[in-house]
Amino acid sequence: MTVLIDLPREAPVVGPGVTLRSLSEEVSNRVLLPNTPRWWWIGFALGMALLLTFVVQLIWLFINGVGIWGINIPVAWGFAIAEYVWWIALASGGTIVSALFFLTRSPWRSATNRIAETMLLSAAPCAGLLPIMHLGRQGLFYWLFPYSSVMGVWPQVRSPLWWDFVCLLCYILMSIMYYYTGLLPDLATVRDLARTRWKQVFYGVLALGWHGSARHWRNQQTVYAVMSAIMAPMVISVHSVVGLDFAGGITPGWHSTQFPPYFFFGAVISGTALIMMLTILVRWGYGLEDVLTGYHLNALAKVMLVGSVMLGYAYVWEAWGPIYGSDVAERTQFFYRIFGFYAACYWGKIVLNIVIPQLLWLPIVRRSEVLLFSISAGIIVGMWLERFVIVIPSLSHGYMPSYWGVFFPTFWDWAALAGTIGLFLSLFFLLLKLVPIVSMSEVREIVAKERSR
Amino acid sequence: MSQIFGIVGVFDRPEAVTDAAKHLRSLGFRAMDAYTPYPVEGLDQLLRPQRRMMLPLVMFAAAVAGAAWGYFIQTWDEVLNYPINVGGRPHNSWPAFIVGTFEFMLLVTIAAGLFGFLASCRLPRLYHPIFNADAFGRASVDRFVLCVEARDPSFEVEHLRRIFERFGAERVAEVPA
Amino acid sequence: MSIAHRDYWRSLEELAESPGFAQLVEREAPRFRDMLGPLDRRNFLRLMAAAMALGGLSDCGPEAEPRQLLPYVEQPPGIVPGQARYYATATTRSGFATGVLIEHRMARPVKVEGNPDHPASLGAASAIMQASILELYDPRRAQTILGQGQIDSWEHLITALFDRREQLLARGGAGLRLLTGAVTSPSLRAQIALLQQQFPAMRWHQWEPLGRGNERIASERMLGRPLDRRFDLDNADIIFAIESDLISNVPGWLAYARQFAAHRRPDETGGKMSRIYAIESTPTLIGAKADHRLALGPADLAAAMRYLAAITGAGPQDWQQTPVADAAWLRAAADDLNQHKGRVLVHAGREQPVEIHLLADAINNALGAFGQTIRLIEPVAPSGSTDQSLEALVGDMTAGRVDTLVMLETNPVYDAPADLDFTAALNRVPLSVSLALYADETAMASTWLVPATQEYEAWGDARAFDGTITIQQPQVRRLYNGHSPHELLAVLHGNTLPIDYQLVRDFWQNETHQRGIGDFDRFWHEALRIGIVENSAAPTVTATPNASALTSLQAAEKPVPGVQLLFREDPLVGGGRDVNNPWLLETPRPFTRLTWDNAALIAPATAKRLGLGIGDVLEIADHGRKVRAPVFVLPGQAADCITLPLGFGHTAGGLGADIGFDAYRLRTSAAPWITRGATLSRTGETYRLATVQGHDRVAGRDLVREGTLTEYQDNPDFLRRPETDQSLYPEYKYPRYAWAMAIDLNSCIGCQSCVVACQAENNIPTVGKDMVLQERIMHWLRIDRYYHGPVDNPAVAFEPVPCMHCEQAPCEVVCPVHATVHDHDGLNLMVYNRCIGTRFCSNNCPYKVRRFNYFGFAERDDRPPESWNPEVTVRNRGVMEKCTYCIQRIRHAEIEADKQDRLVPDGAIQTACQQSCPTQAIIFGNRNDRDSGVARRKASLLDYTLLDELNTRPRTSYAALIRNPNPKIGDREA
Repeated sequence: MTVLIDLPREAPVVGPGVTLRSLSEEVSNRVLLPNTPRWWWIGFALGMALLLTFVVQLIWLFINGVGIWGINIPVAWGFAIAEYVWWIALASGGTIVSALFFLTRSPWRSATNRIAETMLLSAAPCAGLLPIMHLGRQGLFYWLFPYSSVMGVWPQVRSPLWWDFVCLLCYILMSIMYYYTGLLPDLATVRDLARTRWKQVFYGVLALGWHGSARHWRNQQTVYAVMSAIMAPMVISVHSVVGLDFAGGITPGWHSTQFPPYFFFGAVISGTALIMMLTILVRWGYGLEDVLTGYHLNALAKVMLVGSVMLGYAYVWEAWGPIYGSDVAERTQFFYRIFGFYAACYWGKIVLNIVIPQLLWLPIVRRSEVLLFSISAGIIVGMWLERFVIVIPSLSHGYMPSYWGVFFPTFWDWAALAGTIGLFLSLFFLLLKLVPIVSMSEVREIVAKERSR
Repeated sequence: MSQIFGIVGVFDRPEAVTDAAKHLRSLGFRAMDAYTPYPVEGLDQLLRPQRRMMLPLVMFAAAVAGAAWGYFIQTWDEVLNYPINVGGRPHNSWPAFIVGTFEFMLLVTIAAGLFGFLASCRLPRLYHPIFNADAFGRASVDRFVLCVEARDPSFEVEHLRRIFERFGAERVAEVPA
Repeated sequence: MSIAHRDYWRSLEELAESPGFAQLVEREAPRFRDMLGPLDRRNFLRLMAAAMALGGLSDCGPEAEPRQLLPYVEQPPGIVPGQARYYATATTRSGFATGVLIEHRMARPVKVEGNPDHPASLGAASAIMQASILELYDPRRAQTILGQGQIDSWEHLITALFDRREQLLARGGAGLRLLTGAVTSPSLRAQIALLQQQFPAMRWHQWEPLGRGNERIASERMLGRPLDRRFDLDNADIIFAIESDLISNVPGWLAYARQFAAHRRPDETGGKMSRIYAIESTPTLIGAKADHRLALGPADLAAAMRYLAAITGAGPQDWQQTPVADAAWLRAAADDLNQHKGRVLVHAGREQPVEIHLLADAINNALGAFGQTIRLIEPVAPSGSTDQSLEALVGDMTAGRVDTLVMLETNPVYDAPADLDFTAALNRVPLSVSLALYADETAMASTWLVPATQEYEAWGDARAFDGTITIQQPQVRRLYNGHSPHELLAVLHGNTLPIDYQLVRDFWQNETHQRGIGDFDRFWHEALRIGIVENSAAPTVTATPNASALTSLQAAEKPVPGVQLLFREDPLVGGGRDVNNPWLLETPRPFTRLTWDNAALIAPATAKRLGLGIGDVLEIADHGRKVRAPVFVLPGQAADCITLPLGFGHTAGGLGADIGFDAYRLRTSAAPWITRGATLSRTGETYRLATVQGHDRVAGRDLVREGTLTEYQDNPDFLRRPETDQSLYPEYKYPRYAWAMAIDLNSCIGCQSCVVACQAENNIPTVGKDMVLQERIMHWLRIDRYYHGPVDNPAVAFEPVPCMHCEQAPCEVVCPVHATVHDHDGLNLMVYNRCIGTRFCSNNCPYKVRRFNYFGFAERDDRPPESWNPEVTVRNRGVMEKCTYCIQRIRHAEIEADKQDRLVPDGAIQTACQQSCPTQAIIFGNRNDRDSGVARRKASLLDYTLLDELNTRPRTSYAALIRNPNPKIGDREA
């Protein structure tokens, strides 16, 4: 990774005119100044509108049960699970950028990690809600907690679903703590720059009285480094375990040892793609061009490219296994995937995740925000298709030909998708308004370095 | 002399703070601290050379405890408390317990990290006398503040003021307690 | 009330004078009768008020008094909660009885099981028998008497009939007609005889839409008089089946199926097997089991039969000259038949024309089948020329010679031949009474609808295919104040207070008296207890077949080009009789796997030629009568033949109304089974047919192991695979019991009995067509149907698939909440209360036997609460469920055994599917017990498990399918 990132720079990490003060004010004012840009309102309104559909579909779901979706036997898992995997991948991308590239000491990470983590915190709830929604008896989801829930019966901890539940739980909690540890100094800055009383109190309380003493800094640096060293394997484990949800089953199309890395590659590319889109948005919306420079976009683009190549590798093995292997069920399954009822989804994911991103080899493409934005959007759609292809066609063509069937999404399936997107947008725009979206303390170091050079 | 907390020198360059701090320590000052908008390499080691970082050890201990706890609740569940034949698998299917163990380990470690960090910083502490320092607000933006506290035996305002100014402090001020 | 749509003031006066009003008052408020004299205005208004109020009440008549069974508050003596009691009775179709035992829980009938002592059941119970319990409880049954479409009363009907009776007696019964189906009931026949004494001019007509007239005519011409046949398949080494319903529909088919299967298990008969040849136009169950099968259109089939008759020496030799397709095949078959003289059976289905039946009998005769494999008995349901007699009736009705028509549980308006136009004729009959279970087409068109009792509600009697008599006893107090046919006839006799119990009992009292049986009470109790009247079976009679019967045949008709329509009974709704039964509607048809609809069945080649696909709606027109039917492409169907299943498309009645299309509308009295020259036109519309099977072939999997008898004889374990059972884990031990199931693919004939039995026993809800289309059908046990070989005439394999109860169950490992786990007997349990509905278990079940309650299907099921089986949890929304090996029965037996401090003896536990299976294809028991039936089956070298490469160690295993092809005939794949 580092090798890739430390290529001769194509753009400076921070713009020339940036000083410590200008940086702090530029960033802090976004949360301090009362005037809110129109694009924020539009985004937030869109989020809330979709969130409303989410609420409606939740009510309908709780009244009628999961039967309102298109799922059936054999295809007992539908959109809910595919989208859960999709969301958790997007969320993981946040940690990958902020933790993994902290360890690699990549300079570009400093400005983008807050966006990444904010995205993580907004995506994680979507990922967390879907598996609960998809339960037949949603009210009893707490039986998954490791305690003696009914008549001394505990969860069945051999189930990949339980592993997944634990992973998700830990992941969300840990992400919040990690996020907060990094955020603390910036909250202090906002506190100190705040002019209105209630904002001073609000951020003062959040800052817990941080006063940036040498001792604080040293503690924070140490613990943050160790945390990153933990979050990195954590995020890999999270998505590997999501992969185990499927690899742990014997269903043809799922039962594959390559799933854990395969899923992680997916997380890398889709997470980075979303960060890319949000970075471009924030950069443009908040006019932070000299803090979030082309250097950052370029670096993210390269990560996306790497992700795409890794994913392509996984796709090759996904195909090679069944073709080379002797299991007739696996083979029928695979050919059903690529030629069957859902073939369009399969080829769609190939094009969007593998073919188109190869454009990123060209520096011109990496410099054009429009192209980067659309390629990233394509990747996110493509990853949705990938999850769909993994979950649904595998189930619809299992071992028993007599019980082959197909899944048609109903209106409520789409409502669930739209709803989670709404939840994400609402949360993200809310956090955008509440917390400094660029890690000032870290960028200051870079500014200082630049200046001392 | 206890009506003031100490005296601060405000610098605009990290190097100045480091030099001033070096000098003050050579003069035998101990009760002092520096406040900077971003971590300044080696400053804390300079001010407290004998201080050792316990946090990593704490987190390591937490990791071990978390792993043990994680494995235990799973064994308690499947082996000790309610052993039952699940799909013909042995009660103690340890390979299946690894994931849970691992996740619990990490969770506990991170939690220990965060709370250990806050504790070692004496946080949360919403009030601190240093906040009274003139223009301290800029210490979290673009200024580097060195503070010698009044409790230092050889604390003497004018002497310190001169030292600060010699090291190019753009402002020197007393901090009311 | 009829006044509703009249102008108010005028109507009151009219009403006040009208006799209708007098009757109304008489019925609703007898006390007011005397006030009907001179009416002053006040009286009149008071009266009106009362009449209207009461009239209002009469609308909610039956509900006013509680009719449903109530649970006990105080426990009556002799009834132990949790202990089932069984009462014998019989259920009849087309008059023929099959003995059943009805399981009672807390004095509620909850399940129908076959009566092992009854020759037509031998313990087995067909799908229709199983489902009859739901008919008993069906809230959609006719519940009130309707006169002229108005709610009316039994007393009033009696008065009406009495008025008419006076006139009839005066006329000696002229104008009185009785229309029934086939009647085997001795007591009812006696009543009819009595009626005919009272009314010499009365005529009794019988109408069976799916009667066996051709068979009877053939036997008249061949044997001189109409005789019924009983078959002895134990003596039949070769069965030559001409679209035969021998193991799917003939009276007594359950018993025949058992005999049939007993000779299809080489691993139990020491490598001996019968051989089956089948030639047919549309697939039959016996055709599916056949070792050699030809799909022939009717004309080719006739030609083939003549050819066969010729070479077996049964028919004129010159018939050999006329060239036929498949001559080699027929020669080989004929040689085979000739080599087994006296041990062959040629059987033709009832749909076959008289000619085919004659040919079959001639061949039987030539090969000495009579007396060997065919035993003759006097007809169990003797009748005049039944099928024509409806035409006679309609003729008289239209001519106005009928003024009183009494119809007992028959529905001619729906199923009479289309050319007769029974409806029009019926409208010309002043007084028509229809005793009907449902407010069906005929009942609604008659002047009186009398709700009939369901068979389990009333006393009666009936005879089985072999003449054995069963006295039917009611299982429960009448739910919906119906009346039995005996009662209605008694009214015609002049009996004002008919009680079925007395009618039947009195009949048997003097019957026994005549038979010289002394102790009637003993006889009565014994007959009721065991469910049959002992040695009442009809004695075999001898008749010398007339060898020259074939000479009467005219020259073979030339095969006509174009499509021909075959009218066939739907395998599950019995020509319309059972179309209101949700279980039967939702049970997949053996071949089409179709639910909730019938469809026009077309051969793949024909469909391709006509450019038709599954679901295309076809308009079939014949003599100006039109029917729109969705197409279903059925492998094995003869080219250019379209099979139209009868029994759907009702316009009135219960649940079955408006389901499917009504093929009767194309069926004429001249051509009841086949018509030629119908015109097809595509409507361009499509219709969604709810089939439950995704794919017809095994797709390269090792699901159905199949071989030939010679292979088996050469090397009995030729189908064995190297042992794959390996495990990293230590094995669990099941020291006490290891419950297991063995399913014999050679025995399974795909009749679906087990499917419905499972549904009845385990409270499995029906989900309806929409949910079937959404692939959410709930059956715990399904019978997969696989084809292999050419699509025009494929080999068929039926494979029942319950839960495999894997010892290394993949489903259990992935459940995060311990909701599905193993018990100490190695059963794969499903803990409903613990299930939170992740559905991972279903995804991880390679056999796809798990079912999920996507909605509250059980709550939606509109059956009365008391009809559910209290032994089995009714599952609610959001939980997974599956086959439990009938754990309620297992636990019951275990507890009983523990009380006696011993192990459960073999055979003490029968799962519902096993119990209902006519061929004993399913065996359940304790695998640890080396001499248990199941252990012996599993020891067979043909035993294998599904998908054993997954190493799931199923407790359910299968015996491989062995066919016994004639070496002289190439394999059909060749």
